[in-house]
Amino acid sequence: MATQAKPPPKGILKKTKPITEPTPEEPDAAVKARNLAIHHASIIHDRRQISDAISDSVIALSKLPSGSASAPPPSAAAPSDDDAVAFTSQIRLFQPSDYEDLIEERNCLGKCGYVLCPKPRTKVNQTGEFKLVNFGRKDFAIVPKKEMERWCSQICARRAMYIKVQLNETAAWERAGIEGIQIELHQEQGNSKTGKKSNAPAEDITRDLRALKLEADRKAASDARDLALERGDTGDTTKMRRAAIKVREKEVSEAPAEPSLDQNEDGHMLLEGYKPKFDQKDRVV
Amino acid sequence: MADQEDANREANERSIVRTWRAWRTVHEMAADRGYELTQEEVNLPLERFRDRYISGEGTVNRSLLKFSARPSDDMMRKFQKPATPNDPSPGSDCGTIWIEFLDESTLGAEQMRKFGKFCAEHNYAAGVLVSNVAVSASAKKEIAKFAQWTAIEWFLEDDLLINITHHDLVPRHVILSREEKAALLKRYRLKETQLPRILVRDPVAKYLGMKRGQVVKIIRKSETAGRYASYRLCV
Repeated sequence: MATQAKPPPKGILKKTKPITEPTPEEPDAAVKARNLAIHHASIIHDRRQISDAISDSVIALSKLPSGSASAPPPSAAAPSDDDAVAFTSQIRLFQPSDYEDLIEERNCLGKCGYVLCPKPRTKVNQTGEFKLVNFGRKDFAIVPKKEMERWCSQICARRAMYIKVQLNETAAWERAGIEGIQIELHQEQGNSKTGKKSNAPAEDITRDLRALKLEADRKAASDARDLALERGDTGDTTKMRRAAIKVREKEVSEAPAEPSLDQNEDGHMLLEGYKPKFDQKDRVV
Repeated sequence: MADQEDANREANERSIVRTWRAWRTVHEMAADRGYELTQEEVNLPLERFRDRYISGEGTVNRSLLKFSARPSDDMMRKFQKPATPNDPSPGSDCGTIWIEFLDESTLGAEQMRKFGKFCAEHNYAAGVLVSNVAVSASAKKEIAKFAQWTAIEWFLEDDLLINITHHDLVPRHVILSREEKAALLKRYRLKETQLPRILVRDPVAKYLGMKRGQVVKIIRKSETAGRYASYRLCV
């Protein structure tokens, strides 16, 4: 009874406001969070789609070059246009590691690692890890057997590596939109000797020009990005700050005159329009 | 000519015996994991195997080497998902398994994708592909893509010629259920990460089809204690 009447013990600690829990029914915050989640989910979705596309192309490219029993596929030196276009267009998004996977996939199917080559890969009939090539000649080399067995010939290895050095390490989704990235096939010596010799310089020039343009585009994009960062802009262009700018012309009433020296001979002594009174001669040492 | 025929027949014979041994090990593996298989299926004699799966030319007809197995009730109970207020009677982690020997001479991404699609479409919870050729890197990447629907595993036929768990030096491995794992961690006041570990690609872990996060109890013989149990977390 007495205990009931007793007020609860008073704390000696400072009274603090109870922490207000964030109310979940704040519609604005909930919508914002949802939009953010959707934004990130869509980014992940896009990346997945691109990586799926790459693995689809690995499967598709491992079956090239296309040909039938009646019309055997052309050689790697002069591939059919369809195959070459399919190859160069699909390889664009590949990273070097994806390309290695493609070569391995083709080797698994028993083909030469170069996509446009119809020949089977070589089989080295010997045990042991390494093989001597070009013994007794200037370009003698000791090559791992595995490396030898990936290709049908040295020239195919060169063609395939020519493609590989053009591939980019950056993630595929960062390059997906850039149209300037084009992959070139290895220039065949036989071709340039025959009919194609006349237009070879022109091709070279166009290729160089394209490379230059690509380089300039990349530079401009990176400069713009740096500038935006310096301004404090986020990547989201829709939310970029926009200031209303009004251009106001200054009214000119008289003809401009040449600047002239001041009439005042002490003009050179003025400091911001003020002539100091300090006199050097009066100075007492 | 006769010599060559003899050599051919010998090679065929060798390949038949190898395939039969892999076939038997795969059955033992499924039985050890807890799938329902009859004793007769598991211990198929070579003669019976020959009768069933040899084609006219005397080679193994690998397209016939496929079967499915249902998990036993014990296994279903063991791998039951934890009950939540929303879902008081959840299903089991395990389901019907599909086991197939690769019928083609290559195992690339395309074959793996075909196999994964088949398992996913027929609602198999797990799929095992046994091949006699190595798999490519991009085919391994395909496995991860089907993880949401079906757990694909692949074995090399060479690795299944003998059942490694029957070896004298391999102790008994038992996978713990969720409750058993929780009880173990509570009993020893451990966090998961404080347990010793076993790799998911460890041969025995592969044999038992272990998944990341499961705990396996390893029962060894001990000269002083009779039996000694240790626990390992699959990573």
